[in-house]
Amino acid sequence: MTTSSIDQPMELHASDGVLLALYDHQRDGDLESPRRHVEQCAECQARLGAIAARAKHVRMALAAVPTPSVAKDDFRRRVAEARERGDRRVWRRPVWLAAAAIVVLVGAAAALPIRDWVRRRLVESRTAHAPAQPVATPSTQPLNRSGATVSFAASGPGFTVRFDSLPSVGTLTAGRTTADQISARVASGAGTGGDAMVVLPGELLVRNTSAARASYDLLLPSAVTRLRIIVAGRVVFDGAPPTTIPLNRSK
Amino acid sequence: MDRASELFENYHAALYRYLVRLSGDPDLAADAAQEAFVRLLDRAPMGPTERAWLFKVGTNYVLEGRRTAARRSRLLDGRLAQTMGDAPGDPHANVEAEERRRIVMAALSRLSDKERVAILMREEGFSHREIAEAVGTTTGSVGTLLARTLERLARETTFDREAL
Repeated sequence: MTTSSIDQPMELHASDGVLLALYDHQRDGDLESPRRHVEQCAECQARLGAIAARAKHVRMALAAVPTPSVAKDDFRRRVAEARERGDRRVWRRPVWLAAAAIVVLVGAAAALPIRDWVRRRLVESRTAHAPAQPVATPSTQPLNRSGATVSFAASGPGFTVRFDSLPSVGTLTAGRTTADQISARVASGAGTGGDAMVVLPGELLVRNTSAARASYDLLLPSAVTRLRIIVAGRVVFDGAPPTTIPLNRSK
Repeated sequence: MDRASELFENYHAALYRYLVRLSGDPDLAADAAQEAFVRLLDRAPMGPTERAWLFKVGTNYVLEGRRTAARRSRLLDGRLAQTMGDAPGDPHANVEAEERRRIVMAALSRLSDKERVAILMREEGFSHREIAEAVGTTTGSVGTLLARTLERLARETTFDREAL
């Protein structure tokens, strides 16, 4: 049944979000019903027109922000060099904190603020899976002791643990868990090397120093079938868990 | 074409453009793009989710890096002009282009991170579902977020008082 816009009850008018989804030709969700409504509703058509005008205006406005030209070959060379070094502390800025979906600090550098929406995702993730030790707000609940744990969802069959530096001493013990989340724990030696654990998609980055003496326990769900451990750019383990690896064995 | 070449060809220009707009800082954007590609090349191919993953890593790198007050200040007061792109030859056009760029960057900087990421990802052609995943909301509500942000950004980037 179709109705004119005059007959259409207010609650059937499409929201701005739905109108934008229609304008953007989205395929997720059921847009067929609102699409039929808009075709019959002058008011919604007018609002759709306004949204289209705004979208075009914003596209033109953003074009006013020029993108500096970067020679593709130069960029490829930079990436290749960074990969060869295997050391992300070669950036021009010496204090990089790296790409962090979720940052959990363990040790001295404990009070980094992170964006609210990133924090919210951490809270949601941890609430959903009942972690071993809640860390709802890392900036105010720093994990600065042995036993500190971070839990997070696996993003695929492969998982990488990457250490910035070759530590003074320490081990990583990877075992299995029946839980559906990956769990990393500072087994001992927390705070000896400014350690911080950064959770990235498919990866745990440990920001340690050569003075670090920490050991770690890692529990992996059965869905994770391949583990890579990289220390200071060198792959020290690549295979199926469980395993125990001395982190300083490159010495 | 090897994998690295293919990835650069497919994603580099869009990722860098997005990160420049997100950060207002071409150097930071270049670092973030580099970090994202290094990480991507260390991984096994991910298929259709590769592009979203790349943008996510770059986004997080920028948001972490932009926290310092100095960098935010540089973004807000728009002193990046000299580092951005090739200036047109016409001095008048140059001034006008710079003024437009300053207005847009100031408007972007007033958005929340979530709004800025969402609207800029939309400009790069991501679906509402991908944007929702990136900013941690539902597909149903991301449309409202985008529409509201579009309205605000359009209002705050009206260069010549045209009605919107």
